[in-house]
Amino acid sequence: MKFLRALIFVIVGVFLQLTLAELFRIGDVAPDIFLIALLLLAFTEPPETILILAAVGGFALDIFNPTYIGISVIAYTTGAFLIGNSRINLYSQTHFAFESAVLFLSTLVVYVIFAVLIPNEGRFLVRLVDIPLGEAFYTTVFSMPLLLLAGRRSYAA
Amino acid sequence: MIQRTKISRKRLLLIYSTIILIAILLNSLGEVTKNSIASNCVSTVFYPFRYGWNTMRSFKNYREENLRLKRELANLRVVVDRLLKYEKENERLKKILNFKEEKGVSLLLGEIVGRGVPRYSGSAVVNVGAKDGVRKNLPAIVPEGVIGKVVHVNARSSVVQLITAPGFRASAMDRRSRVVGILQPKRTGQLIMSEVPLTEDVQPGDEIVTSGLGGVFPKGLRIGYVVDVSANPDRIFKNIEIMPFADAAGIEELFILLGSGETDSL
Repeated sequence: MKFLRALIFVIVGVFLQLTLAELFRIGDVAPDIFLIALLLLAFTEPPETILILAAVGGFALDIFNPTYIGISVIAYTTGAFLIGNSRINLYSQTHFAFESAVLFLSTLVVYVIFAVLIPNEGRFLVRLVDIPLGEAFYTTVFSMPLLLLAGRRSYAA
Repeated sequence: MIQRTKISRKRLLLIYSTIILIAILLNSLGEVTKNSIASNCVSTVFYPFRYGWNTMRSFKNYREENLRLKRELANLRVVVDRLLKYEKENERLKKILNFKEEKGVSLLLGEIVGRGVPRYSGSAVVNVGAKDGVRKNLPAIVPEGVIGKVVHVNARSSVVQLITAPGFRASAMDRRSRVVGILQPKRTGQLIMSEVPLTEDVQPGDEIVTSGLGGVFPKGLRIGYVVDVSANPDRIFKNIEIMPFADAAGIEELFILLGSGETDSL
């Protein structure tokens, strides 16, 4: 039941990523709502669950672009792996600054993977550095109100 | 705690590696296979939504169809009611026509236009009167049998005292044993035949007809059948209960028997 709830949460995250994220696009970057959803899930779910849900969500995003099927799975699973690992190894309590740093790093890694694995002619440096940095920064800023809210609720629990 | 963390790390790494492997495999598939996987997944994922949408649409269609059928049913019900009415009327008129032909006597058809005339309790008003040849004390009959007699005549209407009216009296006879008695109504809508001595032979099921005595009804008109025979408390006469063939409460038309005489060879 708990897993089902988490799965629904991820599905909603994917849906928002496909629809809402584009509304907040500034230039080349848009917030990664799916990754924020994974980070929020990490407050309550074990890392293994986050990993599986990241794979499911990545696959769901991939099926809308079948040419690169599997790439979102790799990218988001890696992002979720970083989130899960940080939860196990670095910090077991929720902390706003720490969560923001983890999200920044995860988004950066996810978009670097996209830049490397998705073939694109030209602008390689922009895609490898500028876009991942912009995505990471924008996603982190975008997630702040949600992280604050989730952190408070987590403390209260 | 340290051991638990180690196990978690190992498990996490294992799951991660497996997922990455599967993802790489997926990515290395041919374009056609990738497209087929994607389209299958999309159709599977969206199937419940599509199913729900189709179900909702069909429900809407069912609702509209249901309303249309209800309207149609209401219209048809009106038509059926009308047809049933015509059918009944047709049967009744056919019966009347046959009866008239069978009897070969002069019958005047009258339609009942009123009931329960104050002076004549248990009577019916028919739309034929003196101008049509109706006279007082003429018998009124229906295809089933005797229904009453004319007690009052106007120019264009007449009052018929029905056999179930409190003051109705007629001379009756058992068709089988020829026993004669006086017919009069009971409160229950049935009739009784009185003045029949205990020694006379009257059995349940016997048919009762008019006797021709009394000067109103010709001999042999059907009245009803015997349902019960018992001894009166005075132990002189029989108590004979008769169920009339004609339903006085349900008739809509009746015949005035203009030409008198025996209607049955007996």
